Amino acid sequence: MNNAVVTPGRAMKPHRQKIDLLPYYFLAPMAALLIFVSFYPAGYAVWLGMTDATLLKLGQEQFTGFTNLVRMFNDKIFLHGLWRTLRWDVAVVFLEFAIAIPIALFLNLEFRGRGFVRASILIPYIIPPAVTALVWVFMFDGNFGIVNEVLVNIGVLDSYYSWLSDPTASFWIIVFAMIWAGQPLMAIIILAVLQTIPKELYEAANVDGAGQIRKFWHITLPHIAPTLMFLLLIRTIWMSNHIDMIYVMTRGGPGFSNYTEAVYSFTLTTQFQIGYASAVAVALGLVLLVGAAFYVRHLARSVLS
Amino acid sequence: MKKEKTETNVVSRRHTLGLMAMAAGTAAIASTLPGLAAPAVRKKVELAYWTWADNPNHQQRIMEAVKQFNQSSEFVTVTADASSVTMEARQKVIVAYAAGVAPDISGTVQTHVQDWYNQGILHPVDEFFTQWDEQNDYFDSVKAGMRVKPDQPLLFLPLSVLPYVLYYRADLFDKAGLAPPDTYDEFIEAARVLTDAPNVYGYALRGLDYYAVQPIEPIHRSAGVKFVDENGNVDFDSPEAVAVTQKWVDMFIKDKSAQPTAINDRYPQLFALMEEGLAAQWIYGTHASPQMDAALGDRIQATRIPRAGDKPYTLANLEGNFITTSCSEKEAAFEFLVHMAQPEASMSLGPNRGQMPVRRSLQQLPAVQENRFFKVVADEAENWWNPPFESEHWANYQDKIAPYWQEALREAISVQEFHDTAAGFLRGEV
Repeated sequence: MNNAVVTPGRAMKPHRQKIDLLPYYFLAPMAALLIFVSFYPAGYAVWLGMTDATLLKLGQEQFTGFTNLVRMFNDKIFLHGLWRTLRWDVAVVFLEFAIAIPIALFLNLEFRGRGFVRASILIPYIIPPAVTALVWVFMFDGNFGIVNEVLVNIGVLDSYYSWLSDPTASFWIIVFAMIWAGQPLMAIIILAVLQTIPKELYEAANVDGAGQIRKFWHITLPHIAPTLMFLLLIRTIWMSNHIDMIYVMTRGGPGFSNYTEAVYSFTLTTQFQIGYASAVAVALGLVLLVGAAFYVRHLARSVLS
Repeated sequence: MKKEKTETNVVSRRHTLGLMAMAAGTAAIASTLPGLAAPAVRKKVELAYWTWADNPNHQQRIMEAVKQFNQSSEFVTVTADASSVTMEARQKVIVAYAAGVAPDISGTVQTHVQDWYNQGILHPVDEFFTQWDEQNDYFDSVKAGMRVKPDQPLLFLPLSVLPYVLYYRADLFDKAGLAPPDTYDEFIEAARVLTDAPNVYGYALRGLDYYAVQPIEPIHRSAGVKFVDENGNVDFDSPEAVAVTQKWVDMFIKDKSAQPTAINDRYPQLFALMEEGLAAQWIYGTHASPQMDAALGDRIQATRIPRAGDKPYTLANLEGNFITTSCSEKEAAFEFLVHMAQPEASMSLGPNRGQMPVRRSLQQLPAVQENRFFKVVADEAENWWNPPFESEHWANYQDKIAPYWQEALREAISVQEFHDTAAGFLRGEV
């Protein structure tokens, strides 16, 4: 005999908790927007990167799998471009930091006309990059540039030098043009963080007899470090994807000497090879994504904690 | 009911006869007044026209020509965009076509016409041009250029031709007691003799973009190089081709008779070098001649491009407009093309900016006949030539070769490697 007690149906089924859909409704438009402007283009770029798509034969692209990836590993321009991108990132980002931090510290001081100086320091940043690039090109023009004129007149050079035809010189000229244009933003962001540091900390340090360097090292730097780390990350990503300054000034030249991955991908696009251009862009994106993931993980553990 | 119907028919016939008589009379009058020809398009049509502008002056001329068309046309309105330079304008049209928003009409140089046609972007003008009563005003050689290949329909309507010449500073040549060069070796030697670095360089050599390579192409051809022959064979990596380029590159590397900034120089720098007397020779299109003449007067002269073999070749690239396949009002588009080919617009966009007209009637005008730069190229009419633009992979070569040229100039690759790469592009291997 079955002694089992038949219990009411309610007790047999586990209780289903009612899901409140309202928050999802609120999130839906933003999620849809995110999918539309971010995930879909990224997915489409990955798809294009696995085809032989060209703008000249749109709609006739063939799925080629990892052919473009294999091509990349045999493509000297791409492989050398990895180093060129790293070199460009490191040079620009670290030099920008080296210049922006002292400027921010200076702008944080109390002095007459501080507001005017703070506003005017943004001028290089608000000038369109293409205009900045052309100004620098004319300044360093080998035939008529003012830099040659000055250097010859003060005796540093015997004759005019062809700056932009020299791979090393042209690289550093683009780097300095980029720094000139980009450091104001960095300085202003760092300045904003500096203004959040409580004055009492400096007053206490003064009482303890700490000098300017000790105050910077033990008070200022720890406070701005998370921001610096964040700037380091986003600026590296921005610079890895940067095209306009390099392209307008040299078109990636002379030859391929300033072909970063972003410039290479852009150039491929101007040749209508959007399949391979997408593959290069996706590869660059993956490298940045992996780097950023490690970096954020480290940031979360060591700084934010 | 029946009576009414009969009356209606009677009236209808009467009206029809009257209208026929009026139409015949109007046609008779119109035939005696060519300027009053009825427009072919009799409905409101809006067209988009994209082209390039070399400079603000060129842009202004385009906009003025379009404005005149819009004022003269009762039915067709054209919106123009001439905000890009040549290569970028091409990219813009291709991208727009791929995105389904191509213009109805686009400007083009002959270089790209075959590529437009191959990609299905260009709609031939054959059906309209052959009905046009001014078709015989075009030279046969121009009509051949409009086809690009003999077995193709007429693809576009040219406005002008851009021939290349060797500009030289007559004052510097006189001072050195030199005559303008005829052969390639004389040209190289003149460059060497005229060089007095850093005050004067014998040749203004270009390093940046495809237009750096273009001036050498007629010299290659003169040396017997065909680039791509009738059977599709590529000879651009032949010893003859390499030899011509090697001499050119050596002007920069060995002779130092080209300016040291050449690798990164393009039109503005080269023009300034010639204007300042820092360079003595420069191969470029006649479209630089108005500014050259204004700046230097008689000190700037021109001669044909030096020959490496017995026969000289003059690069002569047609420029004009074409109708896109996505244009839904092609007849209206051709009306606009015809307007741009009329004397006023054609002279403004052609000879007045240093390019030769392509119509017989316009070439007879004093402004063309008395132009010393046009005279040089007119005398060379039988030697006008274009690279094999019809070759399937010409655009591939043209789009990709530029950085390799800079690499050759800075000796990162040899001239042979440059030619091997270029030949690979022409074969479609890369």
